[in-house]
Amino acid sequence: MYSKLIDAVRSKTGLGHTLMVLWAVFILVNYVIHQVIINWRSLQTVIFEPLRAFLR
Amino acid sequence: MIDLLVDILLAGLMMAALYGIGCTVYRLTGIAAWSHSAELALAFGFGLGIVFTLLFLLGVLGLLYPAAGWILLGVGLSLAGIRYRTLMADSKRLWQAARTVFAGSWFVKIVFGLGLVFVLMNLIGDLAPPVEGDTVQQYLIVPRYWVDQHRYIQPEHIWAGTLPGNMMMISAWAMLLRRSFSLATLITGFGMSLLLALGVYALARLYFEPKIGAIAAVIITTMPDAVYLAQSGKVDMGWAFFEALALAAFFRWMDLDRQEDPKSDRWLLLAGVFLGLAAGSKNQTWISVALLGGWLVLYKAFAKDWAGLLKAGLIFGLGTLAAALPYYLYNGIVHYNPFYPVFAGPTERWFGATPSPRSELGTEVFYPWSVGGYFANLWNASLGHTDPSFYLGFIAGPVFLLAIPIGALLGVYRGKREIWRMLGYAFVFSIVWFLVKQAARHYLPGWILLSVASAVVFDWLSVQRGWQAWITRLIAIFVLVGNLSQGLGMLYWNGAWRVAFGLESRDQYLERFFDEVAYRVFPDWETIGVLNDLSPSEKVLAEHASYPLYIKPYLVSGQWGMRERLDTITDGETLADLLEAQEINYILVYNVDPDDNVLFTEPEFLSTYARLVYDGPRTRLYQLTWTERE
Repeated sequence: MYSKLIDAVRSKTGLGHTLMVLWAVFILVNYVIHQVIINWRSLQTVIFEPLRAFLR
Repeated sequence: MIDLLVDILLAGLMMAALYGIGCTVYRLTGIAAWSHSAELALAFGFGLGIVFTLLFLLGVLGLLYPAAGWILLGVGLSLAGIRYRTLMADSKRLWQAARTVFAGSWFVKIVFGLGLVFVLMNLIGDLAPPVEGDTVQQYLIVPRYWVDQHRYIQPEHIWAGTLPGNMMMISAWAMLLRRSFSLATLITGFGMSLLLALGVYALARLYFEPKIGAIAAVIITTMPDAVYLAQSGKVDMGWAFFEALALAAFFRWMDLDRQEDPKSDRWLLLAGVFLGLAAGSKNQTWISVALLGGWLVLYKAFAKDWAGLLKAGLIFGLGTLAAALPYYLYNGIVHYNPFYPVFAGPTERWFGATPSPRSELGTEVFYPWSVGGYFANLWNASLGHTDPSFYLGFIAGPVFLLAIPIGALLGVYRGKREIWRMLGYAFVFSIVWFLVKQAARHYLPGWILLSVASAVVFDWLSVQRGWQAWITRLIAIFVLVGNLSQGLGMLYWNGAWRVAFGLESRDQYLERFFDEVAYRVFPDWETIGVLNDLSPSEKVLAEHASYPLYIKPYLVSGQWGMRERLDTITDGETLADLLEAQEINYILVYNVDPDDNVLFTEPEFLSTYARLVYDGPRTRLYQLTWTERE
């Protein structure tokens, strides 16, 4: 069953690699979102407030 | 700056001494490992095991004097000197392995280079005095008491005082050599993180080429939680090193046993011994003992080898028990509970064992016990716990989540039975981890195996063609850089880098940290000075007994007390009597503490039983009035 699934993924030209890159992008986006949520206050203090002050 | 260099030099000498002792004993056993890296890892495992067991015995005998630490160092270095040729050969082989890795593709070069940046970052972090919570409240203050009193004791006001102390003994050794808490974190945090990387490398080398081993070592090192632990005096890095050795020895035993190799049993014995040494470092190892023991039983039972099962069970079990014995036997005798404070409730009821205000079981479990909760924990332990209502520490990072599904879906693991074995064990372990302790660091035995499985995918990815492979490689690097940013964020927050770059002395660093960085419920530098003017034998009660490592008197927490909670007592007379009986003469109150709702900080209680002796910007110190009556 597992071997058949892998064979199916591999037999379609580029399908396996496309799934791979989609998964990688999905993980990366989620990582960024999680970290931004967790560090929102720190990001405000360290980056956005000085940036806002500079732009003013 | 000289302070820092002396610490780095001493940490290096301690590692060399561990190598000298371990290598000598390893050679005497006549065991031939599967690779040079495995021999090196085994040598360090033996060295650590001998040194911390010896230190425990010295501690029980009341001989923990600086001279003992220096003699141990001298003996170890002499043995390393005798093994000079082996040491040079091992160093040369490591260098050759590094060169092989750097000769790989650009992707592997960048991954390995990033790993070196993490190592440098950890070194920088450990040069500053430790400020990590558990380090300053538990894991370095306990050895500080051992060194101060020249013996192994279990301070009643610190909950970690009764925990297995193998790794804390290594910190005590550092303090015997030099009263520098940074030296202790350099060896117990940074040094052990290098050994963990070596252990993972050796485990991977059981089945794979050096390049995959090196990537696996990088992956475990670049976990944000590993960074956090490497920059602390916590025991987890050393514990995980022994778990890695035990897993490698267990797999070796299974492989050789299948080939009916008569020498297979020695590997099972080693697996048991290393698990025992891990159990002497952290209670949680009994999960690994149960799981590997269960695996052993199933393996032999499926083969219907009942005589073999009995023999293997005895070898594994006795090896584990013998190596784990010191701290569990001590607790068994003193508290009638080898695992104290775990199981304190039932053992108190059954045997009249020492009670405890807190059992370790059930803490750090926040996600509900459901299938959804299991996956939410695994997902967030990789990417970040976004729920602000609880704290589970640093995360493992997304490398595993990125790599392993790719390996499974694209057939990278096809035909690699050893990888499926690792994934299977890691999966079973993850279920127990989810049920018992959900913080990422408690899953280190799983991350070790998943590092190897991820490294196989990274290696495969490094030679793939096409734009998809390029983007995936870039994302893998970006993810590692993301992990790095978490470590750099920590350095930025506490400013530890300023010490390494000579911009601040260690005292200046602590002063700035306590006055400007630490939260309002931590003492400021002035409070620390006031407390340190008291006699070191005084006991000070505080609802937030923070940073006692830098405070000479006993800082007693309301939640733990002297193994009896003080923050739940609601009757003033009862509390006052208890404080007098326990010779607690002072109460520290924080000025800004919105959550504070305990009797001993309430103005009415304080005006009745105490008088103000210090009124500072962050805290007030009260002296209980019966001290004046005496």
